[in-house]
Amino acid sequence: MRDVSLHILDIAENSIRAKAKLVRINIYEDKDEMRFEIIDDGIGMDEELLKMVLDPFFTTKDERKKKFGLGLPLLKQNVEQSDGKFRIESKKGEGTKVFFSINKNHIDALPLGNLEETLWILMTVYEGVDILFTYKKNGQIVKIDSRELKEVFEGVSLSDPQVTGYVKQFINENLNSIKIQEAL
Amino acid sequence: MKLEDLKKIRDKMSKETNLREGKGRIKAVVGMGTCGIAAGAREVLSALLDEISKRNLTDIIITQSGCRGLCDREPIVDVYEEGKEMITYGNLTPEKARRIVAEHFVNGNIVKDLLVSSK
Repeated sequence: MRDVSLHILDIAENSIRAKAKLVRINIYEDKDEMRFEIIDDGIGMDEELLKMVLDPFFTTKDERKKKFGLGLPLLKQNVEQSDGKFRIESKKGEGTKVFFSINKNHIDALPLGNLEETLWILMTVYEGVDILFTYKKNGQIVKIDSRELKEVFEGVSLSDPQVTGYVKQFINENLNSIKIQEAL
Repeated sequence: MKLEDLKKIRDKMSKETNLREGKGRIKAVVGMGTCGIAAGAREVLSALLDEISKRNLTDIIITQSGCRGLCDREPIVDVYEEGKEMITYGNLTPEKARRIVAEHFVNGNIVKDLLVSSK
């Protein structure tokens, strides 16, 4: 997986499969570091399952029935190899939290990638789940809430051909307003 | 662009947009498991959405599913069309996805060279 934005999509996808109703995606950025949190209210995991998620080849006898992807172990490895941190917490019935940080100065740090596209896809084609995105940087804050967007377009799907272009533009412009800060 | 701007756009939109209910002529399902995402499924999905939006194809629904076991042919798109058998396109790119919209969804011709052969 090439960049952080694809990992965020992959993690949110896990949340949605875990029947989450709301996925919070938080980014905190300062000069040297970017911190990411993906927090869901899905069905969560017990300790045994959590172990398997991070070590997909771990098996206790015939326990290897459940399918797990390689997304999280790869992210953990990548982040830790470039001076970042990775942590996952989960409680059955309450949900799952994934935290990781990127050292922006490390030569192997994962690039952010196309976050706009990840948010656009998450907010439009995944029915039945809401996304609350928050980006904090240099005291500035940008919030994009799919519930607010759905309220504006009441009853019309955000993936509707007449609507989705505006949703994309809205996400792009709001994200750019905080990204452009770079020069300051 | 603020939420108020979106509201103004919404108010200008025709009333008929309200009435469109979940049933499309064609449903295209993009595989968005880890395997799909790593192979470029997000870009394919984005190209499909963009293309149906540009062409204002209101009878086509773009949606997603998890990994369905065809990981080596990702990115894949399953196409469900009323009264027809489901077909699967594989090894897609954004350009190929736009071709599917033009040739299949608009003109009604299956794009044979992009099909995943079913065994």
